[in-house]
Amino acid sequence: MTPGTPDAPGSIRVLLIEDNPGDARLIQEALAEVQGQPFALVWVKRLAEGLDRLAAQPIDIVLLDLSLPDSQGLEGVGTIQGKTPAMPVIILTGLDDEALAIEAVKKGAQDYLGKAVVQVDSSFLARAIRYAIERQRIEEAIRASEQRFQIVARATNDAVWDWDLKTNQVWWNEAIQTRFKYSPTQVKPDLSWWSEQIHPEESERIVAGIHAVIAGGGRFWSSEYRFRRGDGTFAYVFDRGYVVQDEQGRPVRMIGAMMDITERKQAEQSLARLASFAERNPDPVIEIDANGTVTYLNSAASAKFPELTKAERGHPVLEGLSAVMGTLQRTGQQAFVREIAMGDHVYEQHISYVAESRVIRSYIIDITDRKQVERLKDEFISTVSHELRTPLATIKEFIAIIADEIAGPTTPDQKQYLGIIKTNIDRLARMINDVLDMAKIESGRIVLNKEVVSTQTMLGQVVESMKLLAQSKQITLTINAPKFFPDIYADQDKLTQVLINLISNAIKFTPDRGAVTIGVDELETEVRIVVTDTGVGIEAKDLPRLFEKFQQFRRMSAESGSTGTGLGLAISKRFVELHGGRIWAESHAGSGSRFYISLPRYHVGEVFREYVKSALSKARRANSHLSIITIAVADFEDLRSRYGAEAVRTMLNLIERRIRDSIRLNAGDAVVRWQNGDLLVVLADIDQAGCLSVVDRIKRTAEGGTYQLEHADQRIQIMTSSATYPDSVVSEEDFLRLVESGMPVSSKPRRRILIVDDEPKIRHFLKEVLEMQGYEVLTAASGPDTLEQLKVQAVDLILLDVMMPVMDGYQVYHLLRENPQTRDVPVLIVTAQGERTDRLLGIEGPSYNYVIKPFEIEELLGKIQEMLAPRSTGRRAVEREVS
Amino acid sequence: MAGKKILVIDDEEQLALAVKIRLQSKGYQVLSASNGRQALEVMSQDRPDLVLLDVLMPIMDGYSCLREINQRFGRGKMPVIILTARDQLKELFDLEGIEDYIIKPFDHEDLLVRIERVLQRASKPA
Repeated sequence: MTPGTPDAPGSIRVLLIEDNPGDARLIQEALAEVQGQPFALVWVKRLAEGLDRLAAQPIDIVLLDLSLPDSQGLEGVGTIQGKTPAMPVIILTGLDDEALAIEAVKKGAQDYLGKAVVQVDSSFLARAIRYAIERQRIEEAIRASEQRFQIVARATNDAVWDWDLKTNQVWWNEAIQTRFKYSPTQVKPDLSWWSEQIHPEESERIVAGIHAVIAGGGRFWSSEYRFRRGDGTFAYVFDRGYVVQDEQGRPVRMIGAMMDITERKQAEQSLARLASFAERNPDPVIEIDANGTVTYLNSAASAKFPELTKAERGHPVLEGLSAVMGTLQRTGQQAFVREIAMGDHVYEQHISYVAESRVIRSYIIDITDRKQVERLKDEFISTVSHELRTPLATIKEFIAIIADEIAGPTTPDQKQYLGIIKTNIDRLARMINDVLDMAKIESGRIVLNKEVVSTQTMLGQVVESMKLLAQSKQITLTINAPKFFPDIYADQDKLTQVLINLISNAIKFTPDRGAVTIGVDELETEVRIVVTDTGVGIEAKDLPRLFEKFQQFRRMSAESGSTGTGLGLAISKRFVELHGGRIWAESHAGSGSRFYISLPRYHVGEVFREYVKSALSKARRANSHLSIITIAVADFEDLRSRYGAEAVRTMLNLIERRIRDSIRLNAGDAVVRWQNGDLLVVLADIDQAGCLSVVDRIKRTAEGGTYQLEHADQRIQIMTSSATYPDSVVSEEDFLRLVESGMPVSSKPRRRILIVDDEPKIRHFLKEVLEMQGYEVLTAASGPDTLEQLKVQAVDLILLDVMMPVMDGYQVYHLLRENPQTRDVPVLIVTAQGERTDRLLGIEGPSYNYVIKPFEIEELLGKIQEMLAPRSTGRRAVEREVS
Repeated sequence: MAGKKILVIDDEEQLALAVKIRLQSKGYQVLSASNGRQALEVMSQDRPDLVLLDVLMPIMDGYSCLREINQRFGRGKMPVIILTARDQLKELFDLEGIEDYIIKPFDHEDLLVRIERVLQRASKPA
């Protein structure tokens, strides 16, 4: 048992620090006697030596004599455990220093042993050593676990607590502060603090509950309650604890964690609230899955449509839903509303598609009453309008009879008074009309009778009718003639009403000898009409409310007290908006006002066709005739380059006027006219004989006739053709075809489209479709092919597929945009679902659009038409004509 | 076209009277009726050259009256001008056998022009 001797395997290595050799021998002998467990003893005489050993070799336990030459008593324990933490130490004592030994144990020694005892029974020593080692190990384990607990308590979001059941002291981790907004001083470490922070409504119940668990010998407790935060608000918490018992099974501590579940609770509550919204909604709410099976009915739905609980197909509210779902899915629309009639009831069904769960949700409102009210309102308006207008008309007619002296001669005074009566009746009639118009607008019962209207004709008529009023104040009323008067597609009556309103206002608020000017401006996408006056102007603060109902602005009028209903501008606004246009004003007090009307440009060919169709069906119903007369000017290009487009247009207008006059002589009306380039088309409700006489007259007066063109006498040749339904053309289809072939649509240069797609079948299919629509079609199979072709061929539009090998659509797009030659060519991108948002970002522009595969042909054609439209009817085309 | 016989059918008797005076001043002969049934009675005794027919009338309205007229004289054989409010315009297009329509309240000048035109058309052999 000397240093260096190899230890037997599994032996306990004991370091004995003992200066008395006799005592050391005693210990050595005692250990040697022990059966079972071998001990390896290292003996040193001094503490310093012992410390060296501890550093040099593994030792399981130290036996320490209290009276060493280089240490006094207790210090030794501290010194040893300072160098080798957690080293178990057993103090060896003589009989005289037991008190000191107890003290040493308190300082960290595991045990003490009288040397005398060792002498009597060697097994004592062995047992003491083993216990000491074991005890030290357990204490270590506890310390580590305590440390772990502290770390976990600090890391968790839960407020962790440790409640000493004897003292009622409560320890909290930091989460009580961070999570529940307490300052360190606010948190009191006792049970009553906790119970005080529980919501007063629950406190008693919760505290009683936790005590009941403890008293009943239970180990676990949990509860949900409201706990006050440091700021006085309450959090919802889920609290659970574990009862720690002592060896006798008595509860001594309770350890637990309190979790903040406020968010979860609120989510639950709002879910419950939402669920009850649907459930308790008095209107039926239903949910249908992708297969058309009803998956949810609220109670109102099951009560109102009991047959739906059988998930019966073919029920009106389920009808066509798969189509609706398809549409909503494809278009990304949020919702769809439709009306359904069932028995005596009318329902409005709102349908929305929930993409995440692939279901249709629908709620149904009974609108029977609303419909009834709407109908009554309409009837009322119609009745009132009749009841008010009839007496007015009667008064007016009799005044006219007297004024026209049918009932006998009148004196000049009487004539003047009759004039005053008439003026006031007209005013009253206007006001009644305003009120009725407003009522109709508000009930949504205004139907526009749109037709192609020449702004020149319309403005001319309006100015003519306002001339007297302007003259009475010596105000000049002029049309600021544009280069061309554009046509618009509008309800002429309504628009005339708007213009009269604006112009009469302008005259009213302009002092004597001022000026009111009407301008027309043709922009890329709209036609603007501007009414400018030199009047008193409008204050800036009044401008925003100008078009609201019943706004009478005190514009300082020359004639005070002249007021209307305050509805004129509001009605004007609605009328313009019904046309898809806008109306607004610019003004500065004292420097006149400008009122703008902007109307969208229309697609002429479409409107014309539509109009011919409706004229034709009217003719058929009324059993009357419809004639078409077309006039083409020979050498048009030549004339235009010599005299300019405007002069030629003026000449065509002259011819048109003659046609109109001639039609009127034949007791007919021109219902539609169309003028584009060298072609003039007029449709009239006259029969074949009338039509032929019109043509004959035009031929005699115009063909070969002399027209004044820019101060030069120019004989021009015109060619006429005509047809009449049903006299010379029996079927409506034939007539339409004839009209269309005579329409300038065909004379338009064909637009060229380049289809770029790597899939030959798709290229072929699209080519066929587009060619049928009259487009000229080129195809390219790849990006490089596209760029090659565009070097030699200009196109009007490119249809570009995204998914292509070598170079994808986006790369092609960016290359096209970099090249000045192709920069402005409209590009229609064909992309697959889901690609749209991420890849298309950043490439939008005025000449860019996309379609998502799979698309409807109509959608594709619509977009192509839309992208080509501004060029075909817009100013650019006109400018090209001029140059 | 003076001397032609015009039947004015309108339940608004005073307005109809104004129309009658106006037409007479232009040399027309005027017959009057205040509803469709009465008009049919008048027509069975005296055949007019043209009918001015109001739409909204009690006892027999303009539409039923028009049907009767078409039945009695043959479709389109009796020239009819419908007097109507703008609101009823849409229904008008579904009617057969009318020559023209005029929207109330109308201007007598407009009425005279239209009457003249319809009579002119009717006087021509079809």
